[in-house]
Amino acid sequence: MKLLTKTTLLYWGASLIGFLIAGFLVIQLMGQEMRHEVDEDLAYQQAEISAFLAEVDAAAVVALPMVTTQALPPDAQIDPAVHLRDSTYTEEDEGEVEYLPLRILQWQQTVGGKPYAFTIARALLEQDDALEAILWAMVPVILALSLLTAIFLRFMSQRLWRPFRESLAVIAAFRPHGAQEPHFPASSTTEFAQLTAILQQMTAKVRHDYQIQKAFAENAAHELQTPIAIVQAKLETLLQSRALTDKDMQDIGAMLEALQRMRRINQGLLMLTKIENRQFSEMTPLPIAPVVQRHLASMAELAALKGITIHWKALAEPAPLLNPILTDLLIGNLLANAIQHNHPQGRLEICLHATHLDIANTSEAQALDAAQLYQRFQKQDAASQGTGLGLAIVKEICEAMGLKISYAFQENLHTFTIRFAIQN
Amino acid sequence: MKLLIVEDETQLHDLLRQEMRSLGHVAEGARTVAEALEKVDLYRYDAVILDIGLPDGSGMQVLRRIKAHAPQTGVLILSAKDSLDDKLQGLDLGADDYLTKPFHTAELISRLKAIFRRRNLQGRVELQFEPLVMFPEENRATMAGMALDLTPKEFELLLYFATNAGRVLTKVEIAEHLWGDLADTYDDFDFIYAHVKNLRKKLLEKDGWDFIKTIYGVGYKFIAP
Repeated sequence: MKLLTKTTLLYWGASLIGFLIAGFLVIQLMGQEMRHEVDEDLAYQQAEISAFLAEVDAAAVVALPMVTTQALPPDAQIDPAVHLRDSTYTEEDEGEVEYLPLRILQWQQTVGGKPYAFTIARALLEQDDALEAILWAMVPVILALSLLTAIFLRFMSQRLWRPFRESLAVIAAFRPHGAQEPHFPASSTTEFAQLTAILQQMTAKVRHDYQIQKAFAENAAHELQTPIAIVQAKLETLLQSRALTDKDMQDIGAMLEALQRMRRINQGLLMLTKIENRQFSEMTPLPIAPVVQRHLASMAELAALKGITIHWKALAEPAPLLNPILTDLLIGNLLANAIQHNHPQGRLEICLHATHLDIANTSEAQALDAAQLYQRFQKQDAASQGTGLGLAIVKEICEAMGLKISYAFQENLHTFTIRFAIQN
Repeated sequence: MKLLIVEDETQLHDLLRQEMRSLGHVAEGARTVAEALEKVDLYRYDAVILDIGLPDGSGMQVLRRIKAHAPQTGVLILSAKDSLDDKLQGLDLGADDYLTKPFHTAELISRLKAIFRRRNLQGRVELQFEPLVMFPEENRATMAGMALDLTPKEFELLLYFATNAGRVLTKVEIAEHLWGDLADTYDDFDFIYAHVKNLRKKLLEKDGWDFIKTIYGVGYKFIAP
């Protein structure tokens, strides 16, 4: 849920509770006030009547308006106290009987020597009516307030939180290897200014560390080339010596093979760093079909040796914006993999569509782990002579040229699909 | 042949000169651009093996000088960077061939000999290992006067052997000579075995001499009769 929504809802919730409590209290207080007023009124009236009755004789009692009189037994004790209490009276309204609230005051007094009990009453405004009146008054106010608050919150939120949202966007787009330093927005709000400062520092560090790491890998690979070249050259010379036994020669042969692997891994790592450095950044519209065909031609022999049948179909002739060198390497690597990991008498199917290229091969291996697939030095078959970098390079190339690569295993076919950017 | 080796890395420099000498060539050396320019100005060479990455400049300067003063000199460029730019620039400036480091010595020898053949020998070029005669520029070979029916790869292979006669060649370098970067897709070198087997058969058919000797666990060696 968005922050603004949360804030608004919480505010409304709190307001609602506040208003409910306030409303309840108001009704109670008003009720009490009304009663108080009525009581005072009754008391005043009682005092007047009492004073009047003190002057007259018993006959006047009968004619008192608005007073209920009751004669008491002649020897009754006069209760000197005045009693106030609630009562009700009934009213019939269209067949329905309503009980309406009353406040009554009762007292006893001797008039002309005879004891009487008197009752005067006031009708209280129906609580319902009071409630209704209050509610009718309050509800529009509450609604209007809530609406205004919501509008105000929304408006203010947009402005106040803009630096935050901008920072979020910058972070989302952040790449350690990006060409530009990320720029975080300045703000007069203390917390956002703090956020900007911290983020700036953090991203700078990440970029720096990344560069160092990259430089290290690059330098290491580069430096290794010369010693490897020397060892290889010297071993090859050594191999020519007539002083070697057969066993010696085999050992040297094994050393040279291991050296070859070292060399290839090194080359692979160097290639990866070059691609990451975006050293191959020139893109031109490149027809893909000829590239595939060229590689198939050079691999025809190898495929034939393993008895692999190749089905190559071009359903379209796409020429997306690509870098020629990288594309060559990409397709070359994928096809080489497809042949290398194939089993004898297997199949290799390549299909070129307008938007994507499918390369599928049979293999003895089961479905590959898609999560680990492109990691460096991940090898399907640990014993194979491959460098384990082929797919890592493929992935890096795709990333450099904005292509999407996906893997699927269906009907015994390992299929890699490369999607090109859709041309308009 | 008189060669100039321009390479700053000492081990490689010494190794190359030694190798060339053992092949019967005269091999002089230079380790910097300055030294190389001096030598090129003073002497004529049949071929120059030229490293691009030199401490005091680029080998391209030397290449330009050679092309200006002694254009008939064969030039083979070496470089640790396999950048396309260097390669193209070198070939554009007139270098005969290009090798990236690290390379197999046999590969260097093979390419050097190809440069020699193209530049220094006019008319028909032949490699003679009686009864085998090879015509590299025509992609054909004969055995005891009869034409050998070889596939392109088989001819390549035979030429590589022949130009490195007497040298133990590992499966690795043979693979890389024939297939370049694709060589690492060929896991078990079975294909090399297949090609050599076929080649041998074709050679033996025409003559009793087994030119190709197997060095178990390592590779092969071409032995002239």
